[in-house]
Amino acid sequence: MSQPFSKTIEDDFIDEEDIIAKFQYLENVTERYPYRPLSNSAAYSFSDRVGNAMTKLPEEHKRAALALFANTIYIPDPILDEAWREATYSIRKKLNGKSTVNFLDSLYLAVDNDGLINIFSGVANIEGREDHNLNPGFNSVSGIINELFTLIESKKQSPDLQKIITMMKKKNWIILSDNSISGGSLASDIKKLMKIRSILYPKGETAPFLQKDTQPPQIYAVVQLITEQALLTLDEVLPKTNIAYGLEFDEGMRISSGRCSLFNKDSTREAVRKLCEWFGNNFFLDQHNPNFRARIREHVQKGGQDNYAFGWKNCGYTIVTQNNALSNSVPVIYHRPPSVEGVSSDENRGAAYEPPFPRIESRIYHEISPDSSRLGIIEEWKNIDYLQTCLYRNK
Amino acid sequence: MIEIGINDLISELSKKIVFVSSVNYERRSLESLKTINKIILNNSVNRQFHIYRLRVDNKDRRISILEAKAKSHEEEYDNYEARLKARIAKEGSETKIKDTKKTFTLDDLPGKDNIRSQLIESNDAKEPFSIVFDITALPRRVILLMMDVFVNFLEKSEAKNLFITYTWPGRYPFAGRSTNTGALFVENVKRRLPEFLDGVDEIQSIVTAGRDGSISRLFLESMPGNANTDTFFYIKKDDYLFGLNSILENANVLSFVDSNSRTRMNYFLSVSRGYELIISKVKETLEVWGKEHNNLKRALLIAPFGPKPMMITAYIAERYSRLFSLKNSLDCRSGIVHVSSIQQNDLYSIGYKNTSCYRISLDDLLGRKL
Repeated sequence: MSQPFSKTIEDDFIDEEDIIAKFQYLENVTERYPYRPLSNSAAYSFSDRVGNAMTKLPEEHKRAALALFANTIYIPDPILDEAWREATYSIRKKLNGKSTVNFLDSLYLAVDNDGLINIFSGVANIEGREDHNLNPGFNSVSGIINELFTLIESKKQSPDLQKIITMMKKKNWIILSDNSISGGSLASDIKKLMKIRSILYPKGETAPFLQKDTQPPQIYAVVQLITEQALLTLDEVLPKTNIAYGLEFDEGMRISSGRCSLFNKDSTREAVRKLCEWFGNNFFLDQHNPNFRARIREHVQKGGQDNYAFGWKNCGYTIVTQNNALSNSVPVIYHRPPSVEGVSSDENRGAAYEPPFPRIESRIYHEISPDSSRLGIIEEWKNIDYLQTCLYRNK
Repeated sequence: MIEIGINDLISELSKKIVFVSSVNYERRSLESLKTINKIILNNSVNRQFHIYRLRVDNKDRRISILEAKAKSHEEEYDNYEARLKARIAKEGSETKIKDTKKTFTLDDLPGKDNIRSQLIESNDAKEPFSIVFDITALPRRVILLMMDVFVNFLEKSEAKNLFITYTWPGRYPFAGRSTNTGALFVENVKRRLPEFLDGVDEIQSIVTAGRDGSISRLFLESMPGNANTDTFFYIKKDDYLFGLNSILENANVLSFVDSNSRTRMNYFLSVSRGYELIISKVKETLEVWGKEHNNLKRALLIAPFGPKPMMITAYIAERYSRLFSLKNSLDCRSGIVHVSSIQQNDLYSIGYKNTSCYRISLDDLLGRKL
């Protein structure tokens, strides 16, 4: 096993990149707000985590790895919680007293995480989550699509529309996302929700259960962590005034961006990029894991590099929340290469590398969501007509 | 203290505006001109501006290179203002700009009445005016003095509202030397901290960590065993790396909090949220103390080491505490803590970013809902 911290890492480099101060902070913050332990130990300090990872990296990349790990953006739970409160504060300001963020006026939907509404309402102190007359309990845009699709499939004479009616009485439809890094998933959900709104609120008509001239609900996005990149993507679907967020990360925090300002020296940034490329070439090209192959295929289809060097969609962040490393961060930080069956441990390139912040993948099987095809069916004229006839009986 | 956009500011301003700002050696100190320009460009109302421009000198420690920079910025300000006036004249607008320049010495500040009379000497209009206070380049001690003057205007309904503007630095210098020297000092009563806390039975202290890490730790270590302390870290919601630098400076505050059960860690991501958290904490503490009928002597301390708009929060919180204690016969002294002296080691800030504008809640500032 090689030494974790090479003797050839010069004093000037450590000084120029402010390595010691960054290590000291990460030591302190991870001790107070720990990330989950590594697989082979109950408790590891930040230095131990980094040291453990460094022993498995080639000598020529150790300097870069040190700079990369020192620039991990570790977000502990108290900052994450405050980000929700900040986002809530921000959305309250946007609503300007005309409506409230509680479940009476607002419908909450979550992107990719059903538990988010529970977490958000708790941290942001928003009452009424379990009042079924207030909260129809869809939890996600998929939930609404599923409900509409089921209605259409059954095409009953007198369908149970209570949940849809409850939803339609809200002044605000608020989509929650714990992180919007590339902006893709959130933008996609917003577009779907807009389609649903246009179906449920035909122009010039008011449903009998709504007060006359009731306006269709406003769609808002409330995001815990967002990026400049995501804000640009969202700009195409939702006005800025309808987006509230807690914490924004700019382009300067992307290793893959020309504006990266994480490092003090350009030469360090280039060295870190080379490390990421080396890691990608070694552990993602010729991927054995079929599920990961599917993931990389999808990533490449969306414009990402085939070696996955900078993470999902080449985002290249170094963000690790106390709960999990983000897939949009560089994999050197979080990816534990799986061992390959039938290959000796010496030959098994990936088996030994233990990243400082191993990630738990939220998706293993990259199945295609039925949302788009179902929404396509809902959008067929005969189905729109059925839904609108049910909701607007006096049509 | 709610952050508002420039359009909201313009719509809430009176016809007459007292604009108080300062130009110094920092480049960002010139940015207040842009705010004035934006207000004038929106010419739906002919305004009367009284620009009260302060220059604050440190008579004992003049550094020629900083003086030259400040002089050059003064000239730039003058030229810009002359162009602004020429443009207004050319357009035939009835907007008027009056400029008063004053130079103070930090160790020998003028009295409140003196400033008050200078600010209203041309107030021929009977309607209440608006105050826009740009704190970007002003020392904390001068901010406190000016706030006292503004409160006087607001209490007498001579002024209608108060807005704070602040231009964020592009970055802070790399040098990394501490600018804060001397002892911890309670600014509003001009006493050293230990002297202020002498004989106090119960303390609630609040500290917002700034760019200089040593001072927050010094404050925490200076708190006696009967103090409950809330430590606040600011992470700018759209500039994480800016906030991270301050956190790196204050890394050992985290270890202090770990070893001290009476110290709590808090974060805020916008000045408005920080204000809300701190004012709520102060109100909640005072309510509890007010309900406990005992003869304990209390102290409420606020140490706004950063960012600078938190000085305004501290001013409002301290004043609120004073008014509450008076009304409820609570034996509570309140103080705003800073260091007794600073040492100039660098340019203080390099470049500039955006200018934020905050609307001040008069209910909180004047204690209207006590």
